Amino acid sequence: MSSEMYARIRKNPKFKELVSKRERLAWTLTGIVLVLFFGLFLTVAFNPAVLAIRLGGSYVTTGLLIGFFEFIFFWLLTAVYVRRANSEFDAVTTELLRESVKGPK
Amino acid sequence: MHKTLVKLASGLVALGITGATLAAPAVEITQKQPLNIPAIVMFAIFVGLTLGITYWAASRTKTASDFYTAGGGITGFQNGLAMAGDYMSAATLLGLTALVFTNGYDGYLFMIAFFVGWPVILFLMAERLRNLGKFTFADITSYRLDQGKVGRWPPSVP
Repeated sequence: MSSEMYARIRKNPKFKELVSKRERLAWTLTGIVLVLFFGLFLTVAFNPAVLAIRLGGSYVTTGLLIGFFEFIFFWLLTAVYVRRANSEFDAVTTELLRESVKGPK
Repeated sequence: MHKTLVKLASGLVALGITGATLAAPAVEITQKQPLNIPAIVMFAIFVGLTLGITYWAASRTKTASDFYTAGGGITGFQNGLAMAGDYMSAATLLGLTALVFTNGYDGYLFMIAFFVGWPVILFLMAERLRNLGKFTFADITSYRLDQGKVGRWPPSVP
């Protein structure tokens, strides 16, 4: 990897597109995780009665279910990220590297 | 530096002595347990097996990349298993179970908080770390920042 190659990568519009797409996905997913997580904790802090409702007279409360749902949901978000990173982003990265090694001559 | 070490050592010794004197009455009233041969044998087998695997793995490790990533020769799935094994530690299996048992929903919330850090780290950091090709946090900070200063910051020494 020479500095000319870095410069070629930086000039490539595909690189800019890759970076912005990746950032957007990463921050969207992070945002979803943080909003759900802090949402749950703020509910715990300010309105715990909502989480203490028993479902159908059983020992399962809404709070338990919401916590469990967050586990599963974050796990699914991870799967979404891994899928896109492995297929889309890695494909663009290899393509980008192949173009940049040769140089536009 | 040397003086602080000596002070620290003497402090620890003093702590040990007071600890021993405090424990003395408790030690006297306990009864001696009968020798538990199966437990000792199992312990020896586990330790022997671990040492054996370590010896076998160490003989195959030649470089830093061998050490951290098994020379790049393991699949993503194998690496995932290894990391899951790392994190499903005593803290997860015993600590969190006990926390939920003793504190109820508070312990459950702690468990969620425990878990939420990982997806965020994955989304924001994982790819950058992989693209840099470095293995530890200290490697990355010394690559991106002033190497000498990072090295002098004690917690970053690998």
